[in-house]
Amino acid sequence: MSGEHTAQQFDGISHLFLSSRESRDVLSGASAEVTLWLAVHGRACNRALVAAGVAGALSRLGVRCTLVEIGGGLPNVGYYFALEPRDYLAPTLDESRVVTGSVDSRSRFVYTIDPDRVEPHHAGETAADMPHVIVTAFHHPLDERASISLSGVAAVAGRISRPEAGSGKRRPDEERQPDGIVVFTDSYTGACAREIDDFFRVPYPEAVLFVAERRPSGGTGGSEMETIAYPCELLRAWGRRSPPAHPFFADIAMRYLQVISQRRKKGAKRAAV
Amino acid sequence: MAGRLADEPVRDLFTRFCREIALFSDSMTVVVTPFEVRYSDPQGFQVHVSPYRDLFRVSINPANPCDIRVSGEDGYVSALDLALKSFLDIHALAAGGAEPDPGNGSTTAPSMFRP
Repeated sequence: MSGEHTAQQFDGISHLFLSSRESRDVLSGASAEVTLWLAVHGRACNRALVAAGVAGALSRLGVRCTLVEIGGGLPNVGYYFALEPRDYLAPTLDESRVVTGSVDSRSRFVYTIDPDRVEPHHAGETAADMPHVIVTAFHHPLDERASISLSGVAAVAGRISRPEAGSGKRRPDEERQPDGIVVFTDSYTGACAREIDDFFRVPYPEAVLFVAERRPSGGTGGSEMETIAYPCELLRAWGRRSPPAHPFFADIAMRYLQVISQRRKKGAKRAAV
Repeated sequence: MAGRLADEPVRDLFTRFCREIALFSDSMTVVVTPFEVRYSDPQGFQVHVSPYRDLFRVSINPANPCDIRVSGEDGYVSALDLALKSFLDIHALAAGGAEPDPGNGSTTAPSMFRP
């Protein structure tokens, strides 16, 4: 992680909260497009739940969001967006199937076991005058059965990204490095912390990296990673067939947008917000 | 166990169903008996899957069972959706109470055969 960020707990930076209007302003600009990875460590954090929650929160902040959830295992986001069982379970019968739907009037979701199956049209039409966040959610470690790699994950955002975003010269099938990564894990200590650092921070040193812990360890594993407490009460929403609207997801979304905006204003290569 | 099923499509559904149940949780326990496969986890979720010649029976939460006989994709979808809902609800209850579904969000119309 870059030297401008130091280890601190969430409530230490609560003064950085943005209003909804300010959040939209953070990504104002016709070509503004950012990518966010949600890496869920193990199944206890419920990949589909956090993916649906973050996507819903970003959309409520006024930005268009394309959520792509990849990898096997249930539930998937189709469950939380109340798709018929025949639809959200289709990939369990045919691994090549891609499930799509609407988060709301502004944002879309895509689910597939194999990220190579994601095509640009799955994301729907992207308005050129609206900021766009591409959220990719996956299990960590990656699904060996589907031969998913981080390179494949990065290529997903590249395929659905607007060609005019970023440098404007990138080919549609080129990998799109993440602007931010949120790792959801049970406890960020010891070997787990080192493994997460090695797996994400080393190959993506420019990405904003947060860790959400289900069982706060009170430490940072010796890392400078920012940590957020994953609320235990989120489990109460597991069975509900609708996307969770817990403030935890709005906090993640606003924190991520704030940090990205600050970085860009300091002269990152992509279009300034 | 899948070899007991004479019908190949049903055998495929059995294999897929068992695989998906096993993936629900990192702490799922699988016990294979002479007549069925039993799944359980520490929070109390239980599913028993019993193959017969032309179908397999899925028994969700045997203490208060919901039995579904699967001989095709419709039954597979119903059984897997109900098993998933049961798993998620049990974990929600373990956390202090499940939030109710909004309105009639669940539209499953399974073909169930209660004992």
